[in-house]
Formats: sequence, structure tokens, C-alpha cells
Amino acid sequence: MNNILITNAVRFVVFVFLQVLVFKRISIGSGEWSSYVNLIVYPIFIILLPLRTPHFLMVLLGFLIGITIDSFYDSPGVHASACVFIGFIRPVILAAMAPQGGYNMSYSPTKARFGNTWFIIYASIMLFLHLFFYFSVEAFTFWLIDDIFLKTLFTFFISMIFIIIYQFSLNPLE
Amino acid sequence: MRNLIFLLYKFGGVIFFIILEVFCFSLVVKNNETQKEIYNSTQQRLTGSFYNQWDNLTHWWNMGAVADSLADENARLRAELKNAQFINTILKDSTNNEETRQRYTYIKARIVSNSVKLNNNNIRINRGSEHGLAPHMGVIGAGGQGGIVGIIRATSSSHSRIMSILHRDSRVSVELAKNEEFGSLVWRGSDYRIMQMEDVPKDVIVAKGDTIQTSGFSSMFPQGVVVGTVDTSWVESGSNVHSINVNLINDMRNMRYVYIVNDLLKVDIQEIEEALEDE
Repeated sequence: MNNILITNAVRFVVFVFLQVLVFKRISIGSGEWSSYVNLIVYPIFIILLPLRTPHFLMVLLGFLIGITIDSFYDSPGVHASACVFIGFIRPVILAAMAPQGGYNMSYSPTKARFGNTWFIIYASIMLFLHLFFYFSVEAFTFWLIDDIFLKTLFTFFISMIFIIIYQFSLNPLE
Repeated sequence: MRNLIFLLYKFGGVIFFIILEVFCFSLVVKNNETQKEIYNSTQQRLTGSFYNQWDNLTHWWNMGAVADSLADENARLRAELKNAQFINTILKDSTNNEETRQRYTYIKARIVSNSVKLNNNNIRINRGSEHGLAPHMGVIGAGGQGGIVGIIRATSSSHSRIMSILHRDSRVSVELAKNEEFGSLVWRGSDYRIMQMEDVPKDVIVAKGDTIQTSGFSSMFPQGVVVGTVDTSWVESGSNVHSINVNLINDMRNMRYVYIVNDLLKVDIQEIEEALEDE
């Protein structure tokens, strides 16, 4: 119990630091294209929260990490709204992806517990929803829908690579 | 207590989601410039079209009064035509030809919503950037009443929001017609028929009934648009300036049409101002 709490607290701090100190500064592509490719990896914190995390706590923690990231990105509310959204939608996705016999509620949804394919699909859905929500709020109008989609896609692929590297190299149980 | 915790576990997610999303979006539109602009213009377009529909419904009720006032105005304009005037000057020196050039043009607009009861009143009109309107243009009354109405604050493509002169932040440069002593016209927020003129030195003689007109110092209003007449004036003890109550010439509550003042020399004037600031 305490172990999981500490793991997640550490993950929160580490990924906030990584996001604002490293990923935010990496720019891929040049000129106009650099705005299409961002590296947004910190949602992994919400993705990997233990399965038994209460729904309201997930929404609250989403808000917490979002608003922390926002304070470094100078965009009050933009990241936070996306994080609150995926914190809210996570139980729906988990329910849709439940393995036969249901979940062992003491696990966390990691690659080590549920296997490669399951984890990649689950993390992809979560990250894609997060990015789509995030870029929609950033643009704040659906007139630029193709722009939003392009940004989401490019950012999604490059960020997903980092998430997969993280899961496959450290292979955390929780 | 136990019930409360049960409720929190059961519905907490939804409740926190709604509360936090509302909070996040309010943060977004308050603190991010792009999103703020989009939010404001969308909100304006929606409320603008709502008011427009409502106005279309109620438009016909006031038709009689509008026709009267338009006829009045037509009469006034006819009086200004060349053929209605007697040329009284005797040409003495042919080298001293007077040359004029158009400075102001006017764009007609209909009011779709108006208020006079609030502390800060705003007016919406059915003309926007599509029709050549831009923020900081002056708005004067139409329909035989004359007078000034306000200043455009924001425009969307089809509608504009005017800061009424009945607004606490409104400040218009005006002068006494008889001696061109200028001051500022402000509104203290009580009576929509009465505004206050400030900054007139106490050695200037102000009498009841004196005409107040715009000074033309800003490019929002041409010089000489009649605003109203002096109602009462007094000097507070220890003050160096008059306190003047001005009776507005126009009825701010009962307006249908306005003219937007388009200053063709605005850019020229701005260039000078910017050159001054650079020094």
C-alpha cells in the first residue's frame, strides 16, 4: 500500500520535472513544423495510477498534475482541463478493455502486469484522448480541426515512443 | 458521515469532473490571450444574433416614432443642401480659394440592444468589421435627435459593442459652444438624461442653457456635435473647477438608429502621435 503511494508520488515528481526540464525544451522539426511536434509524456502518471484509485481521486490528481504543468507552460487551465478529462474517462476505457475474469484490483495497469499489446492499446487510447483534448483547448475553435488532428497525431507518435521506452526499459510492476 | 463518503466514491468523479472542467475553462479564457479573444468574439456573435432576432420581432412596434424622427432628420439635411442656402460672401480675392476635403464619413447602424439602468451600460449594433467598423470609433445619434451615443469597444464581423456614454469609464472631450472652453463629459451613474462636465476652470462664466458640444480634440467625434445644454453649475468650496450638470439633447433610452463616425484622417493623426511618442 505504502509502496504504491510512494511509487506514484515519485512518478508524479519525476515526470513533472522531466516534462518541464527536458521534454518541453526538445524541439523536433524546424520552423512551422516545430509547433506540430511536441513531446507530452507526463500523462503516463494518470495512465499508470493503480486500478483501485477512486474515481474522484483520479480526477483530482489529474487536475493537480495538469495545473502543475500549466504553471510551467504559462497556459493556466489548458493542460489541467485535458488531464481532468482523461482522469474522468479512464474507468470507461478500462471497463471496455477488461480481460476475461475481470481485473485484479490490486494491480496497476502496467505492461508488466497486463502484457505488451494490452498496455500499448490502453496507453495509446488514453494519450490520444489527452492530446486531442489538449490541442482542442489550445486552439479553442474547431475551425482548425485539421490542424488539431495533425498536431495530435505527430505529438502522439513521438510521445508514445517515449512511453514505450519507459515501460520496456524499467518495466515497473506498479 | 458514512453516507457522505459513499456518495463521494459513487458520484465524486462526475462532480469533481464538472467542477474542475468549469474551473479550468474559466482559467483558460481568463488568462490565455488567444482563447480569450475567441471566447469573446463567439459570445458576441451569439448574443448579437439573439438580440438581432429579438429586435426583428419588436422592430415594428416603434415604427411610427422612427418614421417621424427620420422625417425630421431628412428635413434638417435638406436644409443643408446647397440649393437651400444663400451664398452671402462676396468674392474679393480669387487667389484665396477655399479648398475642402472630406474628413468624416458616417455609417448608419441599428441598435439591437441598449440599456440605461446599469452603472456601466453597453449598446449593441448590427454593423461590424465587415462594414468598416473598428474599435475606438465614435458613435453619434441619428433620427433627428443628434447628440453623441458612445464609442465602439469591440467588433465582430457583423455586430459591434459600444461603450455607451452612460458608462463609468466613458470620458468624452467636450466644450462650451460660446467660448470653446473645454472639459470632459462623464457620467456618475444615476440619471440617464443628465451627465457631468468636468475640468472647466471656475473663472469661466457658465450659465444655465449654454450649449455643450464636442471639442474635436480626439478623432472620435467631429468638432461641434451638440451634446446638450447646461442644467446647473456650481463651484464646490475649495475647488478650482465648475461642477456642471448637462442635460443631454438626445434620449439615450429611446434610440433606434445611430451613425458611426469614420475619421478618414485618423491614420494621419496617429502617425503624428506615434512620432511624438518615439521622441
